[in-house]
Amino acid sequence: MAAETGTPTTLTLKSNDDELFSVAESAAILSVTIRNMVEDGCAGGVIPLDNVDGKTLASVITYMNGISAIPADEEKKKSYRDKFLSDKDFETLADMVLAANYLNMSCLMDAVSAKIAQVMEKKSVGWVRRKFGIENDYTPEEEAAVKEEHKWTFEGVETDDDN
Amino acid sequence: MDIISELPDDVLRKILYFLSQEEAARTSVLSKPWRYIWCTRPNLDFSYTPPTMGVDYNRFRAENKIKKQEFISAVDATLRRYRDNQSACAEEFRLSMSLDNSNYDPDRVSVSFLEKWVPSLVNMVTKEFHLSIVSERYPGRVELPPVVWGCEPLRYLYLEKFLLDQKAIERIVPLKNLKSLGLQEILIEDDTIFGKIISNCPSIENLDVHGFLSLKTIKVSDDDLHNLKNVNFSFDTVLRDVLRELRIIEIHHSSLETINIGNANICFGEGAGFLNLKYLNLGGVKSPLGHLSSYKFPSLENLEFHDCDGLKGSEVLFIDAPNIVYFEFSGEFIPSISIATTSEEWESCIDIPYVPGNNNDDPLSFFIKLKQLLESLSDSEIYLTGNHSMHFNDYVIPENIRNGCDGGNKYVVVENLILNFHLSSVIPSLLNRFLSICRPRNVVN
Repeated sequence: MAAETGTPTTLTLKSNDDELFSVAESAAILSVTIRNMVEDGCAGGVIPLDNVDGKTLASVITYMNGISAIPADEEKKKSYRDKFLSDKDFETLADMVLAANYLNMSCLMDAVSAKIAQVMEKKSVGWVRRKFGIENDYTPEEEAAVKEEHKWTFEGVETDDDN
Repeated sequence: MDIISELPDDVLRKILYFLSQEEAARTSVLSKPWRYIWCTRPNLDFSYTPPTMGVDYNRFRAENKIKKQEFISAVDATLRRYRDNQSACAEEFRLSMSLDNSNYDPDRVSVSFLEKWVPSLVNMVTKEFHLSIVSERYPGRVELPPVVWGCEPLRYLYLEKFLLDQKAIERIVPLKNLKSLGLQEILIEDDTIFGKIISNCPSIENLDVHGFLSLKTIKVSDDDLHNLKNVNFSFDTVLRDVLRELRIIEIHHSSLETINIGNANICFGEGAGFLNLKYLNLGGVKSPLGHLSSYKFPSLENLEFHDCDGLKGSEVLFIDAPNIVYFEFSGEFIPSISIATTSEEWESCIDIPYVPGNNNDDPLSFFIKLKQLLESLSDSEIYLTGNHSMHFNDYVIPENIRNGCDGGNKYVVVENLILNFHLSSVIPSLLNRFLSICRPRNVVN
């Protein structure tokens, strides 16, 4: 392993649509899932990642390389994450959060989750439904009952037509 | 297409983690799949502040009463859900509550809800446990239920204006998780209570004590607090005068990084070391500070003295601070301070009122002392502010300072000289006097 020989080891990752990616082991082990595979000695050949498609994996590897190039400076890492996520649309973010969850990468998982939460922040129920295409399957009576239960959470919230 | 609702619960819980409690709970209204996800998120974060008080005080009181009750019921209901839900686990719990806005509310204020909440949380909360409760009543009007000091997972505790008596601490247990303790305007029965609290909180890193009523001595030592990093102690000058005594703070500590003291006397223990001290800010300290000369401050970056009568006296205070970045002095007299440092770039800010005749300083010795101080700080970038004192309209401006000083031709360079004098007629001659002891790059009037 890299730590023992001193030469950088490269891993090959395979997405579920059969794309192959080379990545430095030191960057790849940000994923606890990959780290465990490496430690169990399954990293000799190609590491198959059955739950991640090529497009998302490419993006995750960009992140792995970017963040691991930054020395232990939490502020710089944070600003890298912010910049990395700034131009991603919601669909991409959803793919990334699923990949981060599967790969067990807590720093990426936290950053993407926080970014999605940010979109929902200070928004009315109606706005969130429209934004994310969530279908309201409550009957009016049911919805009124749930709202009543959480009455205190609606203090000071701007309402809109279908709130 | 509704992608978000299709995300696995683990991921949704993580997203909800980053929302406020209200926003997380409100997601239950989105649709049926969202109905109960919010109450499995790993953090509970409740905060209550009373409505803004308007002119109609009775209306405010009534409104606060209703809202507070709604809030308490909501917390009750949420805690019940978590308790009943086997898969829910609250890693973090935060409660921040401002009970009232006024001391004049005739209703009795009580925090008895804590007696119900704390026991159910003790076994549930695994990581962060933060409690912050503030009252605006006169200090000591609100009793603290003993259950608080018995809450073993507490990580952060902030209390304002409570009564701390023997009853409040009768069920105290070792609070090994407590990292930050803040106590403001607490009425304490006697000094032993504070000692008992401290001896039960061995992991404290941040200790803030402000306006602690009737407490006479605070002792902070390595024996009890091994991890103490930051201490902030300050007392109200008004209250201090009423009580006619200064709190005495004894510090015997080497792990400290920050010391902030306001309006108290301090006493550093023998052999106290300040290896890690980065920030020392003393305000209104009356006890002599000459003994600071005997310590080394290898990590000190920030040193501030504000209105410290303890710096009066003829001896030079010698500070050994090789890494100083910023020094600030403000006060009604000119101290004799010398800072030994290897720092290449550092700043000094000196803020003094020009008060001729005050503190037995005649105008001439005022400028002589100021010149000496500037000379001893001449390695730093100096910012000097001279302030107008409202009490003196007749400025006595000495004629020629240079004759009274060492007569040398070396002038200390001052980056910025600010003269805050309302009486514009004296400024030209006063500026001349300042110019006879230093060379300012900028002068601001």
